[in-house]
Parts: sequence; structure tokens; C-alpha cells
Amino acid sequence: MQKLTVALWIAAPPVVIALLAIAFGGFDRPVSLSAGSTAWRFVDEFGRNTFGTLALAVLLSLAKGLAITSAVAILSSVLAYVAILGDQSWARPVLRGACAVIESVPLVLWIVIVAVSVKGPRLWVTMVAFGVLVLPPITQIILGEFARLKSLPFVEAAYLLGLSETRVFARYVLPAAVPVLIPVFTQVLGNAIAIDGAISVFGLGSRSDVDLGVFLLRGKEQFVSHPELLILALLAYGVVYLYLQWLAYRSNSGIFPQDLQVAP
Amino acid sequence: MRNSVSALLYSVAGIFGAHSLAFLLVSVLPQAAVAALGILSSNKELLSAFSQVNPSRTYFATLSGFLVGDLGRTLDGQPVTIELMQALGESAPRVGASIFLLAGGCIATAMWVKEEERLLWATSDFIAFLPPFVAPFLGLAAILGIEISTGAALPDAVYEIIAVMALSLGGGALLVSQAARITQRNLRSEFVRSIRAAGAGYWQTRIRILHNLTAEISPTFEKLVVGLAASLFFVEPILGLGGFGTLAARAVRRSDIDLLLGITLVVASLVAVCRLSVLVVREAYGITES
Repeated sequence: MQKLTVALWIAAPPVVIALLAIAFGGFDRPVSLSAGSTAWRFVDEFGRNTFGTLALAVLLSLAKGLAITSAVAILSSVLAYVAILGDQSWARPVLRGACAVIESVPLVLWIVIVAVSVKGPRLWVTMVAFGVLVLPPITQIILGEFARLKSLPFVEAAYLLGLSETRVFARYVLPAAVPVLIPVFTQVLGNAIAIDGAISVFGLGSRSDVDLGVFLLRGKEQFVSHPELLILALLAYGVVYLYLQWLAYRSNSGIFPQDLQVAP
Repeated sequence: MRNSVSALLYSVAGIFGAHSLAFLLVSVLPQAAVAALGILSSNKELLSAFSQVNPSRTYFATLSGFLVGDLGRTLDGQPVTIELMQALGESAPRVGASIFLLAGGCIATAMWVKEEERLLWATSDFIAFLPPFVAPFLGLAAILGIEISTGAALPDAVYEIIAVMALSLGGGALLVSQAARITQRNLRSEFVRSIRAAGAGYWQTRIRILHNLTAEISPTFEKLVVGLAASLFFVEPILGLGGFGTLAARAVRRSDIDLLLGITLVVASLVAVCRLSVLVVREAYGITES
């Protein structure tokens, strides 16, 4: 019952946004525009309803961000787990070296360089580039947290009870790391949502893309004729931020089941 | 000493690693001439002529050039070193003013934040969450709004002030958020209770915990330099100002390989210098990295 409540709490805001997208015609075909008709309020230059497109952009950006973040979360946790299972002495210098290289240059510049270099579907190229580039720093953070938890008495007690390495990790170490992992992944998610807009500033994206970052960029470009675009895009960012913060807050107190809140 | 040598080695690895990775990305994967010529690359004569005028350099040529200060030439035939120096000369005052603002914000937070203040870091968290291109958008919106309402173009100095504020906003929010949290935690510590009981006044207490804050927050400085560089890539092109960010945008749009490599090296070197400076500051406070 409690897990169902969790699922409902997490899914409710995206479902509401999806319903808003349907209600405002975000999935409808664009209307054909006659000359000068882009001056209409709440219809963009592509003939799409602004509210519907914005709701759809929020939904798609969240989905895209969640997909990248989930992939990074799984990969980094597995890498940190593999590193911590054996001798850690090789893992830390390797990760530190990889972080020294990647963190030496702003993420956006790396991704833009990848986007201009690699020919292929832009969506996949940027998603993969972003995932690969954030992987070493995130793995380093998770490895540090796993190493800290592994030395705590409740984990040692679990080993003494004869539980297997995998079971101790899945049942005790990973859940106890959730309060550290959620804020980290919230930050990754925020960056993942913004990345398409960021590369569009360099002239690499398409203005017709349904994406929150691109929406923000169009808001700036059409500030004089359509100031509502920028205001709505910023409000949408506020909504996404509050949703993510609320998830992070709830991960520590409330909706997550008790067995996911192992207090060391 | 061991920590300093280790940090120096990682910094050097960071610079050369960033250069190698950037080289791999920009020149090994695609054909540079195709990327630069775009649709015109279907013309074989043009492609051949372009390749002759702009011969692609090997990795070792770029590396040895870097070691003697020769970063190659841009697609326009200008030496990259000169282009970078000119751009850095334009951006340096903006970055300097931003760092001054950031330090001021950090000190002000340490001096005046209340023990239970939450609105400050909640607001700062939200600003830090926004993408780095939002601040220049808002700056440009403000400029356009004023210019339209007054019917007159604003002087260049206003653009510079807006640029400095846009540069500082994201990093400043992150710094203020962290400074507020650390100061509030320190204010609740046994140490502060002890010095208050011993008769320390408001300012004495605040100045004492400012030292703790400096030691704790200095690693964020390294991230802030990366953040400032990232903001430059948006602020200058969006506000139409010349400088390092505009040069980077130009390099990306034209797939100017030598220029991109030069930009990567400059940023990586700046980060390495900051990383070492942070280490020195922390060691001065008796904190050694594990």
C-alpha cells in the first residue's frame, strides 16, 4: 500500500502536466498561419498552442532527463559497487584522473564539441555525451558514500550474520545511500534538462524542437513580440525545480517506505 | 608535500588529458574539412583546396606546438595565441569583476546571515538550478525593455555591468547557498557557543567563522571558475560582446579545430591553477586532502 502511495505521489505531477498538454492541444496538428497571424497571443511561429507545447516540452524534457539520469544512476552505482567489491586502490586514482580531465573543461563545451564532431541523431549524441561525461564525477561521489557506509557497524553486523555481498549491498548499503544520491541525481537531472537549450545557443539545435531549454531560447529570441514565452518558460522551470526538490525532500522524510530509509 | 606533488600531477594530467580528449573529438572522429565547409563540402575541388590551405595537424604536432607556445592558426589564418590573448584581454575585466562580486557576496553572507534563515538559500538553490544561459537572457530582456521604453540605445558601460551581473548570478547563487549553510552550521557549533560564552561579540564571532568558511568553501572556487567559463560562453554571445565566450562560440560554429583546442587548453590551465591555489589555501588552514 505504501509503495503504491509512493508511485502515485511521484507520478501525479507528470500525469497532470500530460493532461494539461492534451487539454491545450499540445498533441494536435499545428494550425496553418496566415501572414501576420503569429502576432496572436498563445500561438507560436509554428502554429502550435503555446500552453500545450510548453506542457509537452516540460513532459518530454523531464522524460529525457529522467532517462539519462536513470542510465547514469545505474551505471555509476554498478561501477562503484564493482570498485568497492575488490581492492579499491586502483579505482580511486583512475576516477580522480578521469574527473581531473573532464572537470577541467565546462560540460557544455565538451557536449558542444561532441555535437559538432559526431554525425548522428543529435538527441542520441547529446544524451550519450552528457551521460559519459557526468559518469566519472558521479561514480566518484557514490564510491565515497559506499565506502563510508561499508565501514559502519550496521553493515558489518549484516556481514557477521552471513549475508552475501550482493544482499548486503542491495538491502542495506544502497538504501542507506539514497539521501546522498537523490540530491546528486536531482542536479544531474537539472543539467540534463537544460543541455538541449544550451547547445541551441551555439546555433546547433532546431527551434521547432519540443524541449524546455529550446523553449527558453525561443522566449529570449521573441521577447519583444511574445514576452509571454520567456515568462512561461521560466515558470515551467520553476515548476520542474519544485517537483525535483519535493522528490528530494520526500526521499528523506515521508513518502518513501521505511525499508528504503535505513538510518545507519 | 606529497599532497602538493599529487595535486600538481593530477592538474598536469587534467590539462594534457583535456587536450587529448578534445583533439580526439574534433579531429579524429569527423573529417574536419567537411565539418567546416558544411554543404559546400560536396564540391570535391573546394574540399581539396580547403585541405591544402588548412592541412590537419597530427596530435604530436599540436602537443609539441603547445609546449613551445604555438597553438596553430585559425581558419582565417590568424595565430590562435594572438586571438586568445585578445579575447582574454576583453573578458578578463568582466571575470575579475565577477570574482570580486562573488567574494563580496560570500563575505556578506558570512557576516549577516541569520541562524534560521532559509529563504536565502532556498532562493539561491533555485537560481543555481537554472541553466547558465538564463541570466544573460534576463539581462538582455532588461536592456531591451529599457531601450524600447526610453527609445534610446544604452551606453556600452550598461552592457558591461549587465554582463558582469549575468556572469556572477549562477556561481554567486551556488556560493551564497553554500556559505549560508556552512555559516548557519558553524553558528550552531560548540565552538561558537564557547567563544560567545568567553565574551566574543557579534563581529568577532562572525570574523572567526569567516576563516572556517574560507577553508571549507575554497574547493567550490575551482567549480566556480569552470562555471564562470561556462557562463562566458553564453553571456558574451547573447549580449553581443566580444571576448573569450564569443570566440568559443565562433570556434564551435565554424568547427575551427586549432581554436577549439586552444580554448580547451586555456580553460583547463585556468582550472589547474585554481585547483593548486585551493590546495595552498587549505593547507594554510591545516587541511590536507586524503
